[in-house]
Amino acid sequence: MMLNIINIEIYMTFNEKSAWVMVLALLIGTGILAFLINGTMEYHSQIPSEASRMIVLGPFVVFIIALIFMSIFGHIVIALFAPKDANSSDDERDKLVKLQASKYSAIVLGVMLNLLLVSYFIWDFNGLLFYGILVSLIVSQLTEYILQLIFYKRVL
Amino acid sequence: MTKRFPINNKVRELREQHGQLSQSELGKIVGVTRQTIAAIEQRRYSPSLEVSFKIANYFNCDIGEVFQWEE
Repeated sequence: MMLNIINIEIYMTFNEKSAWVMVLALLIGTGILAFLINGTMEYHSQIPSEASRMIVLGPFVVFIIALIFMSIFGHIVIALFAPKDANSSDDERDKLVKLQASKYSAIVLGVMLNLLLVSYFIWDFNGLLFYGILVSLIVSQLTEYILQLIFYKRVL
Repeated sequence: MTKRFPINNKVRELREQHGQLSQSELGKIVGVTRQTIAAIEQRRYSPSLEVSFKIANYFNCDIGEVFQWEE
């Protein structure tokens, strides 16, 4: 375990570690969100629309708070292991990696939102349209961070 | 076979000739991270002209001596 931590320290840039933190935070956060939505789905169909809106909002607020907490905590931990790296700005390769990753994640977001808009006219989503957009944002962000991790390891 | 850039370089040899200069030290001198120097040496990243000139200037070489086109 210690050796692994040392290897990460030696071979990964701060941006790579940051991308790992965000991937893990998004996956755990999405798991929490899915669990909470699943718990509220039964009530969702039985109550008036105004109250339904509040129930839709509840898991989202918990998700956002959990995501913020995990990303801050994760970044504090990786900064403690490499304080110098944490303070340094991005070099030209970091910028290129981020640019390439964000280009593909924007495509993913665009495709998912367009599919969602088309689907909206076919099926009655009710409050789930909100979560459809949220899932699109999460998938897009996950794509961005995962691609950053891939681009750091391959020819760019 | 691993994909590599067609630009070969002698950065590693030059570092070793200059008193075992570390990747971190060279990175600080030319303004990139240690990992970027490692990626250049392994031909996983092709540096900008600015960084290429900085590396060549540091080693008192012509840029063509440090970086060579290799099909």
